[in-house]
Amino acid sequence: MTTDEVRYSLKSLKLRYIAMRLFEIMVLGLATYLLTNGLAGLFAPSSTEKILLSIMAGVSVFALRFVHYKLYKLDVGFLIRYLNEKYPSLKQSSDLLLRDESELTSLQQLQKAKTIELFNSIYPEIKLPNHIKQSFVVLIACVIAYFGLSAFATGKLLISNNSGKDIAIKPVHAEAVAPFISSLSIEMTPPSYTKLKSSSPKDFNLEIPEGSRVRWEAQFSSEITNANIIFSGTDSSNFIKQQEFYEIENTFLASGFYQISWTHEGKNYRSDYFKIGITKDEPPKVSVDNLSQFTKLRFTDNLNVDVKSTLADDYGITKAYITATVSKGSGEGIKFREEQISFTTPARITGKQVHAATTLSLKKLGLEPGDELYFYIEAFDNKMPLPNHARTETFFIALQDTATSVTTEDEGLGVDLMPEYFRSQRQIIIDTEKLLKEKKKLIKLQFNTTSNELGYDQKVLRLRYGQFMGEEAESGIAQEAVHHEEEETDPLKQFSHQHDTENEHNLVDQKKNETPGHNHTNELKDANEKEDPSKAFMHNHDDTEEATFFVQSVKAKLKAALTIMWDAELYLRLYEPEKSLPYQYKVLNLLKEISNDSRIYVHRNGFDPPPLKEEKRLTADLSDVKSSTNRYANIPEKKNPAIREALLIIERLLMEDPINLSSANKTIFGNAGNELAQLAIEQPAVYLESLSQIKALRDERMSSENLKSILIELRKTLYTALPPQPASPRRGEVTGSKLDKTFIQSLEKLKHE
Amino acid sequence: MNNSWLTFHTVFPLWIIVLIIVPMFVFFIWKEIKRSQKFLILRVVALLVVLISVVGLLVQPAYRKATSVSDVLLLTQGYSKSQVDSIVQANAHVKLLHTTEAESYIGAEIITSYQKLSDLKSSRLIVAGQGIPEYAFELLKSNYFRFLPSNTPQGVIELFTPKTVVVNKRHSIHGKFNASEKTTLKLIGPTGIEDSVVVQKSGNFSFALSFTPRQAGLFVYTLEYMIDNNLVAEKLPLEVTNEKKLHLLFLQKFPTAEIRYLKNYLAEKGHSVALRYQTSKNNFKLEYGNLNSTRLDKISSELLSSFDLLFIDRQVLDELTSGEKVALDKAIQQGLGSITLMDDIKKSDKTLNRVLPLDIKHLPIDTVRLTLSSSHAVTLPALPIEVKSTNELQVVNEHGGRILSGYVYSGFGKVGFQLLQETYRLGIEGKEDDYSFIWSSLIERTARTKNEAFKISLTNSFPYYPDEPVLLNVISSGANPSLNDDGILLPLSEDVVVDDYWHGESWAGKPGWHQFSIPKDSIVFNYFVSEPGAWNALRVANQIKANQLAQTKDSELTSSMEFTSNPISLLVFYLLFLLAAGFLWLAPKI
Repeated sequence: MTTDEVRYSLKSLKLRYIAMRLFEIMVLGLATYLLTNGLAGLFAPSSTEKILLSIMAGVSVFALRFVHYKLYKLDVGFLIRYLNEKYPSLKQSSDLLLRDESELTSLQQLQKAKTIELFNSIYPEIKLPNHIKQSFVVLIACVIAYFGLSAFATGKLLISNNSGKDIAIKPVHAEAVAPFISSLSIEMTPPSYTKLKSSSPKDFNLEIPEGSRVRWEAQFSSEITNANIIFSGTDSSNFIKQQEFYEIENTFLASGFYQISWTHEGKNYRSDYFKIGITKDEPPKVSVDNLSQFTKLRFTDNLNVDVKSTLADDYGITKAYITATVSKGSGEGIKFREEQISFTTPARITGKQVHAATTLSLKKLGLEPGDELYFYIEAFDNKMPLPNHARTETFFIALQDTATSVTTEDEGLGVDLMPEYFRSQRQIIIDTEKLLKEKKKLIKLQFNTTSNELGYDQKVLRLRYGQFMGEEAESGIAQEAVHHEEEETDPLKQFSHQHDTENEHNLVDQKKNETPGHNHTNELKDANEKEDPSKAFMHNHDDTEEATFFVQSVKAKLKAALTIMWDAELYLRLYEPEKSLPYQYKVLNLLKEISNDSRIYVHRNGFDPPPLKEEKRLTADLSDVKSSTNRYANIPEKKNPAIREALLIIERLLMEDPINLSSANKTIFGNAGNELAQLAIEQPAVYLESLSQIKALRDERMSSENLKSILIELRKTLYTALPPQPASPRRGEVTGSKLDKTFIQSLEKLKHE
Repeated sequence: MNNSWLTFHTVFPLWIIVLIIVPMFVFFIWKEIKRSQKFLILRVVALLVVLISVVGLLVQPAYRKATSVSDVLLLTQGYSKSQVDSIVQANAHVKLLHTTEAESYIGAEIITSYQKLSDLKSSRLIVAGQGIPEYAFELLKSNYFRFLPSNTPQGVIELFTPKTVVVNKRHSIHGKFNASEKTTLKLIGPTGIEDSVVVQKSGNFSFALSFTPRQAGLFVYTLEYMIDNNLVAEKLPLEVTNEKKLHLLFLQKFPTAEIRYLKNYLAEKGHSVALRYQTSKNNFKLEYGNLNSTRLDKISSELLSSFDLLFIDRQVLDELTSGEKVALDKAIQQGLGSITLMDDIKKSDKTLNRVLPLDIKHLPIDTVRLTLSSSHAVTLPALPIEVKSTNELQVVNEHGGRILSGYVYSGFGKVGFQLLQETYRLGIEGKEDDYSFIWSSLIERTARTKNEAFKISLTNSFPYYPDEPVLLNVISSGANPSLNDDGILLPLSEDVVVDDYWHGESWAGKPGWHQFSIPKDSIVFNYFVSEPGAWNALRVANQIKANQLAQTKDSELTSSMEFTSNPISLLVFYLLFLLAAGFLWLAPKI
């Protein structure tokens, strides 16, 4: 062997050494990587962080060892030193191997030649220093540790899954590279009035209070182009892309379902269906605890009635009061007065459950024997923007009247004994004309007095009609009684009263009974309500201006009549009845018109036969009567054909073991799903799960045991989706053999014999 | 012949043999006598022997032999030990056998296959327990068979499912249940429990469970019950068929609300409907529902043959021309159904009596109160007529003994009647089920039936098990059937006695639905093979019944001696022939 060859051998030895060392530290690096990965799994949340950390650790160990072995500046001298140290047989002369012959002394040359020979002999046995075995041991230990730790880590991951943070929603199309939702977090914020805290539901199937705001935050495993969420019954809405995730918010008032869909490289992926269940804000529950619905009291009893009530609501009550109505009188003269009474304890009604109480003082409410009090309790909850409200049944408290007098009218009398409160316009005219006729016979004072009295009658009449218009009585009719007696003396008046026809004095009579106090309350109410601007847009029956029995045109006429009455009265009071008379006629005409106007005409309803053609009658001419033909086709369409087909397939599949789903079957299931989806919009609770099952069937995302139970479930829903129909006759079948024919023929022969 | 001690199994008819043998015998005797040789007597005797042996070879005689037979007791599953004990005590020579399923008994040999039964030729067979399956009967060679049945098993022991299950129609499953304790029988359909019944007491209990299918096809319902705290769920196969549409013709003198409603109801259900009523002397109002317009002004047999059912009112019937009457009669004879609409029936109504011979009596009541498919009763007007039940009359609807609708056969066709009036009120009130109930059955049973070329039915009863025979019958309307069993051609044999009646036997495949079909006529018959072990109680109950029926009648019971006919070996005749012929050959040479 020459020196060159030796040098070559040394170089290759060096290369071998480097390779061995590199391999060793790589193994160590890998071990470190695994160990760190396993350990990081216990703490680091995301997989990218974990991988980064592990790579860093691995690389640093590699680098450390690399520097430690000084592999970057390794020269042959290191090898020589090692050989001298390790192989004493070389007699510390291996460095000679590197020297040139020219540099060496003869002795050295001799030694070199010897060393070369020696080196040659030991060359195949040279063992380079390395820790490959040890590093492998470390690697194996680390691999074991990694698997142990990652087992723990997956346990940890499952827990985090439950927290709803890290669930990966796989797309329904199972493909190797399909992107999936790596994490989906849901934040649900109930409306503020519920005072519920916002939460992150663990389940994707949501159960949320009505009006809640739900925010979805989705992260996808890889870049996607578009993501949207499909809600039942409405269109889809797009996710808004934030830096790393996609988010969307929506408020829900009704139950339904949702599905997340995303696009990647032109392909559309869809998640499973998830339910959105809405918990309705219930209206408050109100009950009266201590009273029965009908209470009868005597006037001598304690007239302070305690009312105890329990009010409850799911989120809170804000307001509650008693609405009490006092009814007075009987028959047609019944009158009502309504009052709102608040509870005395507690002072302010608030909270989820309230025991409220108050005392109704019947005397203070103005109840007299025979009167009744109706009341109910109304409660409002804190729902925004419109609160729910609920009320109890109406409770009755009756104050018994032990001394009711009964008026009976004797029919046999035949005389109208109605008191004559005022004269009709016609009567006034007759009286005025009579007065004018008798003018010459009468002394002036008498004439003037009569004229004045007629003027008074005219005033009373005006006031009566004025009441229809809601005008206030200025002086009342009380004076009338005084004059009345005087008028009684006039025999003509009684006579003319019987001619009274046109005026609706009955109506006026009723009005007269009304107490002025009632009007007063109305006014007070008006004053209260003026503060409320919304009242302006309401139809208010208590408004005196509006409280008439008439439509606008009639009202105008009545107003005109009243104005003219003023004139008629004026001239009567001025003792000039002849001037008053034309006004009185005008009034009479107007009043007649008014009474006609307020009548209601109903058109006669019925069959109007077409007029007969006399020339055609009884001629027996049927030439225009023709045969007619009517054709229609009414083949009842089989509803839901795909559901029916799918049902048969399920029946067939259930008989198979193991169950094989062919692609044709899947297509039919898909079609059935489409038909079911239409039904699911109306009844998501019934059909939604089946829709998911159909999806699962189409994507084969289930084990074979699962498949069977799902098919049975699905069969149930599909069958329920078919509407029941009444039976119809069916054509029978028979196989007429020769024997049958002979039998029937012989029978017929027998019959005819 | 059977009672004589000797019987013959002749190769040729006996008279031919006699005709040939007797002259030959006379001829040979004459020849021998003519031959002047020694041993004449011996030669004649030898000749006689030759002839006898030839005759013997040709007629193959057998003699009757009396043999004493042994008793064999076959123990099958569920046999009563005490019964066997007493039999063994009474008859010590009885040979004991037991099947593989049965418990063993001292001294009993096991038989692994029913095939072994064919070996028990001359023995009296007594079977104890649940009996042997029906298909094993044909292996029995013994002409004495006695059966000692075990107790009836618990569960469903009788089951009758409707022959055809039609969609949207209410059907019921009847049966008997042998219970030991209180249990609930549930019929479970695709939607869950369809119907259930509580079995209160122990013992045999008749039950009926009803269901209304909504979809045609092959369905497997489940019959569920508890026995000894074990849940038993049996698969009940049901083939639901679609409604087959009818062609109906209405002929009226004037329109009525009743027919108008009925026509609309049928047309809505997809049946083909044609209606004619008169508007004036020569004018008609014609309506065609789900049907192309055809001429309805003249009633011809061609027209009638295209319809399945004719509704005709009295006035139209009266006004038919004689030609039309003949056509109508002919059409009814050939299978047309006809329902006569009447406002009244008079006893001496010849026109009506000719088509619809009813024995009637007038009643003072013109309404009837019915409880139909819905629970509440309805009151309907009905003709004040009592129709007496006769042999000819087939009743469709009756209430409290009063016949309300029915029909009479007339040739292949039927003539029906409906006494109920103003039934459309039910429909208007929304009681469509009741309305359908009143009319469906009458229309269905009166209308012309479709003539199928073949009808397939199974002889042995449900359930069928894998590797057990399924026996079937085919009734043909003339042609020879070519039947496939799941696509494989199955040979059929025609009945020896009855024409157009074919039998076949197939072996059931694996559990599930299977199909017999006659592809040429697109006739299909589906049957269901149950899993082994399913419907065990029903199977055992059926088997016990079959075994009881198969018992030898008392009158056929023989004594302990059995007679067998033993054929005389033909070798004897041959040897005799050889000896005699040899002598005849040798005699001249001596």
